[in-house]
Amino acid sequence: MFGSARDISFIKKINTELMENIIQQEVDYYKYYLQETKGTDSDNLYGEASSQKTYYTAVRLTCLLERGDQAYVQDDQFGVDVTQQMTFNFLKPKLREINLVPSAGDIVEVRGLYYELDQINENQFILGKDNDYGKSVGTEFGESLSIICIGHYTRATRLQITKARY
Amino acid sequence: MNIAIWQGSSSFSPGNTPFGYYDYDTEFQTNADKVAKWCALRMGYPIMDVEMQDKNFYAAFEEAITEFSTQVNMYNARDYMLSLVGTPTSNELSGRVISTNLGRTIELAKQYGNEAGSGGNVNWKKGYIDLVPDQQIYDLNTLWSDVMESGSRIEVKRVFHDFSPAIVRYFDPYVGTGAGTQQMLDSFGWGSYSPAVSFLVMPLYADLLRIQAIEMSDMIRKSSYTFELRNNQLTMYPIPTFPVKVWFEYVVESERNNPLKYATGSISDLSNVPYNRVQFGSIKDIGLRWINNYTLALCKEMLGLIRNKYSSVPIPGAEATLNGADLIAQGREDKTALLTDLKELLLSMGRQAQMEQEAAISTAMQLQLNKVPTYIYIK
Repeated sequence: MFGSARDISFIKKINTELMENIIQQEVDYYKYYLQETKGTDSDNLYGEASSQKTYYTAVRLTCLLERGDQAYVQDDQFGVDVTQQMTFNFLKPKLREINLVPSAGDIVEVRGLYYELDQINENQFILGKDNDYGKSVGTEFGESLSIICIGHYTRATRLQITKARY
Repeated sequence: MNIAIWQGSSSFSPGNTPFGYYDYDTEFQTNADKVAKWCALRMGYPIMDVEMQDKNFYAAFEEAITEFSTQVNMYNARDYMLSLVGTPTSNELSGRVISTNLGRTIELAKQYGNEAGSGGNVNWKKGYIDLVPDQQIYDLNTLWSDVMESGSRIEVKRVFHDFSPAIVRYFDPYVGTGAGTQQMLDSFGWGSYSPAVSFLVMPLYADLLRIQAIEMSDMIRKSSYTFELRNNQLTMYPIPTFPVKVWFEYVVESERNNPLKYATGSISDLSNVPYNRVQFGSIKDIGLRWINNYTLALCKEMLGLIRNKYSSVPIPGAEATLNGADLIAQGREDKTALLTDLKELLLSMGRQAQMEQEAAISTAMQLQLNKVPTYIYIK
């Protein structure tokens, strides 16, 4: 039968080799640290964290990048602004190894640029099966292969991750 | 589940091959890891992962040795089959020089000797029937095979039924009597000497002419002594007038037709020719090189089969196409080429090819020697 644990192990190895040894696109992933994130002030009505978001220390990950073109937006009041969409294709088994669950609001750094994740998609399953929900075929068959995250470019000054001005 | 793949090195231990033919051969143990490493390197490791384990390499190595051994043994068996058939299967032929002989050729010729009565391996037996006056037809089944051969079918080869030989009806020519010779001796004046024939040398043709004359007289003037044998019915000519035994020779058909003349445990065909697997330690450079290359070809095919189960592998957000089909094709192509080379090499080393080569060398040498100036002797 196709898609058993041996097959999945093989597919994961191919993926790992491809992503870590051949393509080697690396990003630093900053996980949003909710507990340490506070609002601007204690009387903020909704507890929004507009300026004091906190992140875990970055972890370096391999992924497949799909870069969107930079889009320039003309603002009559402030001038030209730029934005860019970036898609990060992560190998889920690798994320599982470090116990990382991507979620919206996390930050990914590529080439010194920071992208805030907006969408988290998990829809790619080996042979269409997910061993976490094996039902009648059991846990030996299938696996969720990827988590595809779509983010947008965000200014470093907003994140307080790195010193943006000297 | 995490299935390990090749890590760059291995450590062979007995039991790691499917059949274990060579597991305890120290040469094999040493070479197994080296060959595994070499094959992995030839397939791209460490630049590329090789999705195989040490056992895959060992299996290919074992198969390559066995294939080499089988090919060598097959060609040996084919070359010497004529000399080997019928010899005991208990002989161990591997690594032995086979002395050829004509035994089997003569054995094949024996069946003609059987029929011609000039040898063979079927007994010609003797039997007889008692002729009864005035009875012309005799049933050999009833009279002989039912009684003496338990009803087995017999085939009569020869019937001893003829005139008395002419020589017994011709007075001894050495005695010189009975042919009017005495008168001739008398006329020479030697008749009173005894034995007078001592003084006379008769030409041999005289005897032959007399004998031929007697036989021709029998044939023309008398009833012919002959017989007809049809479906076990022996018809005698002339009709017997007095009781006499007629002898005949025959074979029992079941004995002649018996194809199992050899004892059990004899070599019969390719399946039981006692060529066993060649010991790996005894294989030298030519064979080792072939084995290594064949191992690599098997590994390519194996890796191709592994990668070709999913010719297209999903990767995050896309798909990657693997080179399984290419590896399979290349592995099989290499295997075919190696086998063809080996077969041609073995064929060229067969007895027939070697003798043809020797003959060609001899002819070429003679041509060369003909160019050498020879002395001219002038007296």
